[in-house]
Amino acid sequence: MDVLTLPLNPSGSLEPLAITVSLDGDRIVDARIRHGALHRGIEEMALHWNLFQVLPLAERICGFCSLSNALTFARAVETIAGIVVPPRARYLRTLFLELERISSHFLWLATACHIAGHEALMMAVLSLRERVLDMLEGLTGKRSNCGVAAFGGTRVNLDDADIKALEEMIAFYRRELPPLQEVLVEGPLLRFRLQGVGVLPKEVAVRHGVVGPVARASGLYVDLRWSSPYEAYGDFDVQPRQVSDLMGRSRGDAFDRMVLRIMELRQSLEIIETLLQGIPGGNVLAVKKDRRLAALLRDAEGRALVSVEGPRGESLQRVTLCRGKIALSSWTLRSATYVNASSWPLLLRGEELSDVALIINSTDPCIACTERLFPLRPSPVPEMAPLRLSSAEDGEAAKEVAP
Amino acid sequence: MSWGTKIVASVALMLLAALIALIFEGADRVIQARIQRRLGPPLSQPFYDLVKLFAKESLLPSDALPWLFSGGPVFAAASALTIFLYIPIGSLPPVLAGGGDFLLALFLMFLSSFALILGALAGASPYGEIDAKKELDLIASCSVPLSVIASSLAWFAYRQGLPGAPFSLETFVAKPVWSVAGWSGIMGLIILAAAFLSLIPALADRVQRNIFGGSSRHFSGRTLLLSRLARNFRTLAFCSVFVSLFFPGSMGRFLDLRELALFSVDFLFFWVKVFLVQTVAVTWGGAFLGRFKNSRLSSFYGVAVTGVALAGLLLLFLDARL
Repeated sequence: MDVLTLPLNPSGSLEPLAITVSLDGDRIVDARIRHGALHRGIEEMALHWNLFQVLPLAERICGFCSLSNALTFARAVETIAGIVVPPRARYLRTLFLELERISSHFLWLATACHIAGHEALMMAVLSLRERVLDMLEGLTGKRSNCGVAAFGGTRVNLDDADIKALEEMIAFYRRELPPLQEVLVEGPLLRFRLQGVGVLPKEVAVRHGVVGPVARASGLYVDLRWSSPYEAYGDFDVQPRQVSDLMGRSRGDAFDRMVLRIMELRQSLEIIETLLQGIPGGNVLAVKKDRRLAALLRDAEGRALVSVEGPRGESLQRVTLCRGKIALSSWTLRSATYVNASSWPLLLRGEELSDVALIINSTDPCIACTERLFPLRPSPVPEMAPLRLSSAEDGEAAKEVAP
Repeated sequence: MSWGTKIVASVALMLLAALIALIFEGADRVIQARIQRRLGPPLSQPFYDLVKLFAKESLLPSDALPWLFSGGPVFAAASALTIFLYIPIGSLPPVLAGGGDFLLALFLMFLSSFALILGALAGASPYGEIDAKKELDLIASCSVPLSVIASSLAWFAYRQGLPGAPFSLETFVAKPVWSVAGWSGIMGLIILAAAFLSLIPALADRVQRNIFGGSSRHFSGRTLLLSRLARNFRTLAFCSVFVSLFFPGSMGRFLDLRELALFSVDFLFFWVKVFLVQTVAVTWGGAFLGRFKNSRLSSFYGVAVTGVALAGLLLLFLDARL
């Protein structure tokens, strides 16, 4: 067998990744992925800043999971400091997480159409995405990096006009999604190109520990919103979506990943609709005065491991605070892509060279989020700091685990 | 026609074809942008690109074979332009009338593709090797249905007694092949026309296959410009051959025009038909069809389109027999 090994430079997958493939003809026999092209030293920067400055920094790790990252960080700090988030703020956080999921899934769909060569479809999907971006802009003043998260609540509140606008947005998507689904799922255009490409069987998905839509498309029943509900998710029936419910069976290929994301778009609309009907009144901040909040954070000490189901899957952060300063002792982030990336060589093996971008994109990679797991220096972790795990119910006292 | 006149006419026609190819390229991009709900570039964008690339440096890879790497795109563009010398434009006879036929036009088109492949291979890059293999794969799979279409038409023209040599494009322009076909013959010709139309994007290198950029990614500056021009010339040449074979109708004769008016109207009408064919085969196809897997594309042309072309031949055969 005459094997040719060649690097596909970062542009090869539309992501800043170094992929080296070994080819037999046009067929990939092996693939290696090397990270590190997008490491920006955010963690190092965060160690020199105070917590109020780190929160927007967490939001800027990535433009498309900005709220997930910021909220995970805020929840970790709240867990350590024992801050209980008011019910209205929990609902608002849930609302914005779902709006972010809609925006992210639409963007993924557009990218998938672009890689599959369907530019007209890509533009149609992007024009649909505009509505949710306009909504975010109307509610927060920004289309991405919306600055919603705050320690102990949200920076944004809703009035009746906002709720009406959200209902109109839901009605718009209920009208526009079925024709899009008909073209993308039932039509031959993408089915022809995506079916049978990058198959990830259920048992392999379990072995590699993949998360998020990639895991669910392979038939795994995993979703943090369902298994360990946070914010207001415990108040709704959020079942993980399964491709087999719509298509009759799931193969775990790139097409199934697309179908699942379309199903999740509909699920997000359902969640927002239910949420708007039962949104409680009251404050959106647990601690209104900054000085009091600063005092609370200064007294906080401990470690917390918190995760949120972002658009790409589980976004996990470990935060350590030590008493006496409003700053981090250490901060570790693990994005969904970091976990899912372990399956890429396996997905690529046996496929054609022209499918590399399609397959890697089908897992919705976010390299900006992924390349955060490189500790630059040993962090000064307090000796006897208790490890706190995020609780199933927000506001409940966090479980303490002996270090 | 004297040799001097032939040379002047050849240069004039090739320049005109180059100009039209660029205008059509601009129109193609504008229409695609409108279909995709984008603003898109202006009609003159290919001319801006031409000026920009012409002024840029052509990079030569260190291990490249210089004359082949730089000469491949030149040869590709030149051979694609030469095709126009054998195509009757409207009511005007080909500049090199009697010097070549449909088969020569096809040969020049393949030569243009091969020159570009050789140029990419001469870059001594492993990517070039992969791209060349893909191109060759595609050309090989397209050559089967194309030869079926060419031989079917020539056989039918000969059998039905069209005046002139069976493989000559002038034969098909002098008397449209539709005029000598019965119902099954017309069906067969429609099938052959559809098969030919589906081949145009593949043979003109206009079908989307590779997200990495295809064979033209190995070139830069003037060589990139020439490789792009070769692609545009090939597209225009294929569409022109298609018009000559299947839609040679004369608007001037329909309007009962004479001499200069007849030639002028038919000349313009010919390019309008070519534009329409290019819009259908390349622009609309490019806008609505996705990026293909190479293996699927090869099997599509090698099996499905060949099958369709054979069905067309069968219908022509039945028509001639009946």
